[in-house]
Amino acid sequence: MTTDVLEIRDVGKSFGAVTALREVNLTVRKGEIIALLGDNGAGKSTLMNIICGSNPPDRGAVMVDGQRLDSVDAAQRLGVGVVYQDLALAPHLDLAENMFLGNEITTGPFKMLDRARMRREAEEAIQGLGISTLKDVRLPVGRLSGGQRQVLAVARAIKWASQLILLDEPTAALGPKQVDIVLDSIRTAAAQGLGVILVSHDIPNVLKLADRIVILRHGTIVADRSPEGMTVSDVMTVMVGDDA
Amino acid sequence: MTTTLAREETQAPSMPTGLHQLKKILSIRAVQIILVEIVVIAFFFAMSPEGAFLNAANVRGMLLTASQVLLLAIGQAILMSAGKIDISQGAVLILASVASGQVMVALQGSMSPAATLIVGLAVALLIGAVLGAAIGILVGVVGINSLVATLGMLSIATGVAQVATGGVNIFGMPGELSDWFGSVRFGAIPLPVILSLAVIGVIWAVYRLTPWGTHTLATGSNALAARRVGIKTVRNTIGIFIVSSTLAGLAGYIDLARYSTTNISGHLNDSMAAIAAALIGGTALTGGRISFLGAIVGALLAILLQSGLVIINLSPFYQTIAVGAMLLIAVSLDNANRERPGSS
Ligand SMILES: Nc1ncnc2c1ncn2[C@@H]1O[C@H](COP(=O)(O)OP(=O)(O)O)[C@@H](O)[C@H]1O
Ligand SMILES: [Mg+2]
Repeated sequence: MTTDVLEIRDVGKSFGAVTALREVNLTVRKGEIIALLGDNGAGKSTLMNIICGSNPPDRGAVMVDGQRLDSVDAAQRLGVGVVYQDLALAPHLDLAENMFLGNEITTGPFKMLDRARMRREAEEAIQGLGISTLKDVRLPVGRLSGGQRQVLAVARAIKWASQLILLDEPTAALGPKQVDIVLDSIRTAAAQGLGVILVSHDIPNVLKLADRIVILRHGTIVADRSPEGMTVSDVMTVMVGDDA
Repeated sequence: MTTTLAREETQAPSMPTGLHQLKKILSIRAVQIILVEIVVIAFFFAMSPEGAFLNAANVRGMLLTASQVLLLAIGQAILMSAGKIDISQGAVLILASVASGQVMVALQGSMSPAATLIVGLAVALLIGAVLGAAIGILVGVVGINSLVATLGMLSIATGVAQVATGGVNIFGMPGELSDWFGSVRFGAIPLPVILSLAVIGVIWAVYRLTPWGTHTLATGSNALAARRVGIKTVRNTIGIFIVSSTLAGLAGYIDLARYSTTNISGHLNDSMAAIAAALIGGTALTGGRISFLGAIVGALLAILLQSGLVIINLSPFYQTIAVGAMLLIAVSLDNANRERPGSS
């Protein structure tokens, strides 16, 4: 019985002449929070797209729970939840509808929506994360603040993920109080046993949150270590390397 | 626990709840239109000679027109909820009625009347469905803007109908088409109206009660988000165009049943009227919102104005002006006072 939720083996990816990723190996354990760092163009987005199945690698493999992850459908099936930077929410639909979008609960031979149950479960999912900022699950998402939307997107990813969640810049453009709420919900997800990979430029908060930091440079992993004892400038130095 | 800040904010604390409730109801677009319609009906009733506006024949005529226009308006509202539009509905209606009419004229005598009528209906619906699928593929798969795709279809379907008929309307429908369907009434209500309302009822139920409607609204609200959560947006797009065009095909069949002939130059403004009805009723062109009731009462408003102006001996051209003004007022109110999105 392994405690690994994700195994990336020797992954490589090129775009024409540009090698975006080369010989990337990474293992994520249950409940572990990994921060993926790197300068612009280092390959973070490419790696995230590979892990969420939207852009398969040229070489190597991504394995979740012993099975190969090679498409968005496979990622969903294998329990990988994604919080996209644009959040992927429908502003006209309410919280509960967004929480269950594409995964609606239906009953009976006519596949009728069970709205009452979806609302109840959406409330439970939000309360389970200790989030007090989202009270009315019937409120259209367009009425929420940026922070509330971010929290909702995280809550949705956690609800549907059973192995791993990926977050792309989850705290960009948020106020300090909202950042705390989002970071707390990520901690709660990890405490529930999910692996977490996040891309963030907020290095001070990342150093507090992450169990491991993984630094990409020119498409290869140049550091994979505990944040213990690292300062922001240590991280920056590794990120930019000799280019600085 | 489910009361929220944002909801309470809209509720002035000093206002008695009864008054607040009333204000809330009056803020619903469909209710506003119904109130306008009551005034319009009273006005034309009072102004028409011997109240002819509300005599059985005129009411029946308005209802029959409604049985067609409502189908188009509902199709349009569904497309608009997904951020799409269809300006080819009228042309699809004409082509469906031409094909259906030609088939029924050819078949009558060689088949039982009932079978002829059913085949005719199937042809009308099938033409609608096939053309709708073609538009849906152009929009969803090829990625052509729906206005452009249906502009092309408008031209093609109109042209094919004219080529097929040589520009001359088809006469000689089986008499049963009118006797058994077009002229049948239950009390004051013509059978085509009942059929139309039943079809709309089923579509409403499927839209509101199954994931289809939510997925359609999500596609209109944020197409990328819809794709990312795994909604088959291409399939949804093709599906809603099939629904809209099949409704146009049904309206074409009702046209044949009503007049026992085609009307190949009579429906070119139908799409615009249907779009206006949906917009007046509070459905937004930008997607994410729909009001079925609004589209229905919006369509009725245009019909009431058209018929009333004729009856009081004013040029029906004023109707065109009135509908245009209503449309602009409705959309202006909409922008000034955004209601809860996605509500009906
Ligand atoms: N779709 C693409 N087509 C061509 N080159 C790409 C594409 N996506 C990324 N790249 C290149 O791959 C490298 C890594 O990019 P990316 O993964 O976006 O880095 P990061 O997210 O760390 O800034 C860059 O050199 C970038 O220009
Ligand atoms: Mg990037």
